[in-house]
Amino acid sequence: MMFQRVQAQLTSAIGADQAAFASAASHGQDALAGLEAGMIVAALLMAAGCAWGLLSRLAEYR
Amino acid sequence: MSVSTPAPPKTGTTAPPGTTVQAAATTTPGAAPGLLGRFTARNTPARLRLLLAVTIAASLLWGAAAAWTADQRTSAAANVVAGTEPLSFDAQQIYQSLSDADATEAAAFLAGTEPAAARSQYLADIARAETYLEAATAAAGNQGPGSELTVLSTEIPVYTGLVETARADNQQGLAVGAAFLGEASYLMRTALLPAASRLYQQENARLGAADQQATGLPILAVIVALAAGYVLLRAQRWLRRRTHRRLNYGLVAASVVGLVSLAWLLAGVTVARVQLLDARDHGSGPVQALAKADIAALRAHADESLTLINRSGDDANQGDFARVARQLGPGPGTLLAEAAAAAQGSPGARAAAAPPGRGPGGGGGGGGAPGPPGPRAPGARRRGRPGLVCPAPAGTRAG
Repeated sequence: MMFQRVQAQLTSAIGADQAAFASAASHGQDALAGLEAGMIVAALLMAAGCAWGLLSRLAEYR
Repeated sequence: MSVSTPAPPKTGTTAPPGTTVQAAATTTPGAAPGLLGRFTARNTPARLRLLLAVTIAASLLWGAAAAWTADQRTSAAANVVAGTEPLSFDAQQIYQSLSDADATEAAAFLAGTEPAAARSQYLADIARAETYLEAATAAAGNQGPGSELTVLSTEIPVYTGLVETARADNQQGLAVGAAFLGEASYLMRTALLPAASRLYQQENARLGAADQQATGLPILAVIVALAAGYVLLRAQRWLRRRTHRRLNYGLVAASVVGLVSLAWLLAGVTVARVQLLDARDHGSGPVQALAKADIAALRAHADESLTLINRSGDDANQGDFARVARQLGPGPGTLLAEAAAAAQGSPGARAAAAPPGRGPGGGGGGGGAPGPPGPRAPGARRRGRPGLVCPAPAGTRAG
């Protein structure tokens, strides 16, 4: 009986912590959503900005 | 060689419109106008072209570093959430189910006629172990724990076969039933549980590695961001001096986009890091500590039952029970204390921090703080709650 009670308490605690893990880890994963694509788009925009800014200067020399 | 600079009205260059300036200082006389020369010449257009190439390269380098960082973090977080953590949980559940099946079946033998509830519990444990084994096998893919999974999938039927033989003998009142059960338990402890334990440890190690990868600091991305920012800043300063214009809108826009993307990357990585560290500290960490205590309790329970049904005089199970019960606690430095400490602040803390007033092995009366079971003389009578104190040594309960 005592073992069963200990195991029931431990199982309940494991279940609660498992749920806490799943929730927090899922939120962590959500925070990274779209980041990779966003960085690629941002880099392309930066390159386009540089090209626009410097090509317009270069055009003045033609 | 001279260059006439018409200087359009909006350029704001230093040369007045229509004037002719000597370009000897800014061009290499006789330089071939090849592709390389268009970048390396010492005149302003060549420098602008060089600046264009360098700023675009810096932007793309930043994009590559940031995207790689984001990809690494995203993959690691996905691996934690959908890969290693479920597999670790499956492995822990396999261990727990098998250990519980072993303890339940051993305890059922004590009753002489196997109680229906114990039989159901045993069957449910085996079914649960097989379900988690299937899930682990499906999830493992190429992760490599195949050997442990193979041991489990091949030995579980052998174990259940031995248990069924033991049950049949026991129902006929044959003493050899206890020997078959002992054999089944031996198989469980020497093959099945070690395989489940190794699988659990492997998956925990993978979980730790994935967790570390997902929560690491994005140092490379920050270094590249600083380098790209420096290049853009220098480019704008050079242009301002050369063209007498405060701002180059293209470079300013590129800088703003760079800053926004850096802020987004840092915010995303920081939030993910905080959440994943929280998941580790209040989730997987306590679960591991609680699972260790749970496994020890199951093992002690099975030891207790096996000692009581053992008729061979072998007191190995009793010794193991005493050792495991001491490890389990409660008391300072025990598994229950570690579980309570690890679960502090987690949702499972209440359950973990409120172990029974007396340890599973905490025999002996008294209302003081429970301690580990002390050594008992062979043949010592069991006291306290039945089934919770050190059982009588093997051989003395042969019935």
